[in-house]
Amino acid sequence: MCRLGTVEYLHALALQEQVRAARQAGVVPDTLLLLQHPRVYTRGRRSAPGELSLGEDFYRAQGIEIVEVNRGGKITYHGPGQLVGYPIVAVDDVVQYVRTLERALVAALHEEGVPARARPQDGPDYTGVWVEDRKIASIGVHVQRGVTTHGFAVNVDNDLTPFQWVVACGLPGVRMTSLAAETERPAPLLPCFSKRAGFALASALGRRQRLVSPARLQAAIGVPVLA
Amino acid sequence: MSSSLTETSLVDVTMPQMGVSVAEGTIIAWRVAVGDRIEAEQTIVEISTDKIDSEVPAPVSGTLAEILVQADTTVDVGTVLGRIATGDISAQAPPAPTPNVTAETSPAPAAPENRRYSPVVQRIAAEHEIDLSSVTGTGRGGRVRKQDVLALVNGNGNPAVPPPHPPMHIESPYRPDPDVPTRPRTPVATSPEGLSRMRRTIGQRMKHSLDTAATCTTWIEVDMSRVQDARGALGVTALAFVARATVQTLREFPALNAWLNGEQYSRVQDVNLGIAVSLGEDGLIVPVIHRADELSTEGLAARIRDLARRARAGELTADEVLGGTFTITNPGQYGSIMATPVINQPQVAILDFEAIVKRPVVIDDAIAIRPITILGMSWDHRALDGAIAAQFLASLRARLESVT
Repeated sequence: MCRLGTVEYLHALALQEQVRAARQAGVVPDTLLLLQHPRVYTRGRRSAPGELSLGEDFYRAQGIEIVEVNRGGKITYHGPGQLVGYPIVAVDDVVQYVRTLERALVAALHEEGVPARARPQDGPDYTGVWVEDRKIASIGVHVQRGVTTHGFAVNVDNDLTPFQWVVACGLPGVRMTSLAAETERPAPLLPCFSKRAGFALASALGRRQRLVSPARLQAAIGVPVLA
Repeated sequence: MSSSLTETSLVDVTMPQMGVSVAEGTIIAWRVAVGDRIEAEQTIVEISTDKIDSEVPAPVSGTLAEILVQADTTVDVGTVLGRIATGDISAQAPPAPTPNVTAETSPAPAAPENRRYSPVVQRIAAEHEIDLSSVTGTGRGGRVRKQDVLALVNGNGNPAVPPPHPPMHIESPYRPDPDVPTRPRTPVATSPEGLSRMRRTIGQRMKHSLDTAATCTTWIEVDMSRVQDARGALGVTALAFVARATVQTLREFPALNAWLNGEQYSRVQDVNLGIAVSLGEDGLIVPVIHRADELSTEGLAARIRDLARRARAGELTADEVLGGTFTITNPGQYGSIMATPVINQPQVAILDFEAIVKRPVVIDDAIAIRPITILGMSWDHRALDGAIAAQFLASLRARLESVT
């Protein structure tokens, strides 16, 4: 597990691909990257034109970058205060893997006193973690040659307003919530929740945690980790 | 160009099993085009199940011979997605010369048959992921021409393009004005003729209504997000949801499910819901769904479809246009958002449902985008007061905004 602080989206994407190549080559074990992104909307290839309905200038005026990503899925938002986790792990059953991610995040949120739940019975559009019918964590996974990239994003104490400026995840009318909104505890909550999430995920995947510094990760994959 | 079929064999690329619980997958995009050289393990197609995207590697090296399942199509695990031609690649047909094409254009399809395609045909086919070997050519010697490919793209529908949503308001009582002659030099009236019997009847009844009723109109804005979600699931129009919610609300406010004849005011037990149906230039008719309170949303949708069809075919029976206790009119398909409908006498109110338009709205002090419609109700101030009308509309809104 490697904590990277705040990383530009595209930089993190490139890093994921490098770690994935190393994982596929067997050079590194399963790796979890935990980080935050600056304010950014990422648009997937299946994004509908109407998702950024207020015009790109408006979003840029709010200090939010718009990044086109070569991935499936619809538009989503990342920003400071949101815990982003990219597990780069070898899997054989990806659906089970997604359910495992959901279980881990539900467990971590329960420890914070939030009655979170997954709702696989409601169908693929409801992948993620919910508190009642409010969405607190999003999950999106990409698999190449048995190794995953992308992962999850948990709203911890981030500003939720940017979600309301777009049709998040292609589900109009979904309300987003956050750990701060559910518990009404003051920021910062992210450092503590980040540790809980890392532990819960390692447990759910049946692994022991080993924290590595960005420098160690860099040495392992042979390319610079931080810009 | 000689065929090299004898030296190649075709290897299937199938939808992989991505998990024990996964039975099907959706093609997101092909990374290679027909005719492209492929190395084993290279990603050739991306698929998705349950919000998980996966890259499918090529099982062997070779040339992509055909694509059998196009993007945005969902198929079962094990379905053949495409075929790779393997074998003596050097013996494969070289790409056709493409003198007019820039370097980034896809290489020519190495078709497994003895066919050649012009660069423009190849480009269009590549853009729309059309397998040219399956296209019937109308050119000399069966050659595939640009028109043939374009016809496939436009006419038969590109399989990658999802079918358009059905129109929202197919039951609209209004139709466009007949074609106006282009720029007459002086305004010329067509030769005077008497109004049709139906126009005279409509005119008399509308005028009678406005002359007798104390018509007022009240509007309310409704967030149609949940209706929009639910109508997709049920495969019915939004009108059916409005009709169902109206019937339920009329049970709550029986004062609006009534007749007023002179000074005789009577509430009606059953809800007999009239739906205005346009007959084009001929006029307008209001068939009635008797005892609409006994029908579900799907049931109402089916009755509305059936009545509209038979109204336009002139097949309605007399009792199918009589006995209405409340009317809905639904002219929103051209984007109009408000109207002041005329009450269908002796009823005491009529609901107008117009276009659903996405608008910025304030929710919890933030701006959000929601599909909004403005429901307008004309009501007879002789029979009731504005407070009842407003309460009725508020209750109707609450129902529509909590549709599941």
